Amino acid sequence: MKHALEHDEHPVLARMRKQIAATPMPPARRRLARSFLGGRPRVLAGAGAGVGGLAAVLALTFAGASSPPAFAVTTGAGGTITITLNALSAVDSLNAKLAAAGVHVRVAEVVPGCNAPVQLAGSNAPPATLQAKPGAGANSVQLSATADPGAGAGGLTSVPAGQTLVLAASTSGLQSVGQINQSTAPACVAQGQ
Amino acid sequence: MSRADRSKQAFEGLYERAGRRLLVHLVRRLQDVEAGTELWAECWAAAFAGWSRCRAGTPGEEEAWLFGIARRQLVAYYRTGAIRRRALERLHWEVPTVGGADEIEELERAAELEALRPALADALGRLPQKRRRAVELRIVSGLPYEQVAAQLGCTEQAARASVSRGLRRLAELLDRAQPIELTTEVPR
Repeated sequence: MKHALEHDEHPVLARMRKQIAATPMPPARRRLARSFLGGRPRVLAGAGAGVGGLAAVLALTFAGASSPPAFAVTTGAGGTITITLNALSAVDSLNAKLAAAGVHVRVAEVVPGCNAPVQLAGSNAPPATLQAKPGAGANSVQLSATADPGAGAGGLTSVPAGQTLVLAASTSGLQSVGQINQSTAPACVAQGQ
Repeated sequence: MSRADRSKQAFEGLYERAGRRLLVHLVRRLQDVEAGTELWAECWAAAFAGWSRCRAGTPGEEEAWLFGIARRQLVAYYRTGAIRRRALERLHWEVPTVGGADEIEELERAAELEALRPALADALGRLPQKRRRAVELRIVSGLPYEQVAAQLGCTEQAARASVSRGLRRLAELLDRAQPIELTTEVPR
């Protein structure tokens, strides 16, 4: 059996080849510098129940000038949760910390231009209100997610099983937000996240 | 030509030989073009970053080394349900975009996903009930492991083990149903 790609060049192959060609071969045994959050949009995805209160405050702080902590999770009054991420390399550690803290929020990626509406699936309540405002740092953005009062206790704290609340941000502000089902996730949401 | 140039030339040769095959392999394993492409890109980034440590002496050994990286990436994906982009980020590489329906369909055809679907359903049906349920909850429904564990009535660790073993078994059954054609022999 022959695959089509045995004979025809798929554009994906050419795109990767370009990156390989443009990159100098790393020297042996040299540790590469860690990358930090830059212009590519990031998405915060919360799944399941219990975001730690009706309101969850998510703060994305991008790389600062002087060795900030790679990530931080702090809980304030009223169950407010602040998540700080400075180094992309800390995403896994941050997710592990969130899981250990019982916070059903995860950090993942979307491609630029990802867009999906916010609506709690299976609920007639109005969409959750999401706002973006400049954070403390020059390149930071703070995202606030609050359930609409009409949603009562069934707001952000009762995301149905299999559903994911998606908040997307970039250094320029709120990129997109959405309540998605894993099986019908927008193509722009990274799979497996 | 410098040593580094020769080394890069050899890596580019590996890419020419194995790039397409690895892409098709991973798309087939994950049953998903986007996820397969992302894992494929991470594999190439990891291979590029670690090329200086590759001790392969022949093209076949180089490919075995590359597919070893892919196997480890797959195992990590099966275990966590997420694709890490560590190597891509270190190199500041992007996952190549699969632009549009035509390109997706072309990859799906190459990986023969349509033909694999009956085999996948059949393979799922051959898993023990609890393991099949674990795979369905985690992979099909996309539930976090703690919810998978809650629904299965077991610990999260046991749920992870069920999903991982189920996926491995699925991969074995699918490979048996649709063996991947190797244009170059890859020694084990």
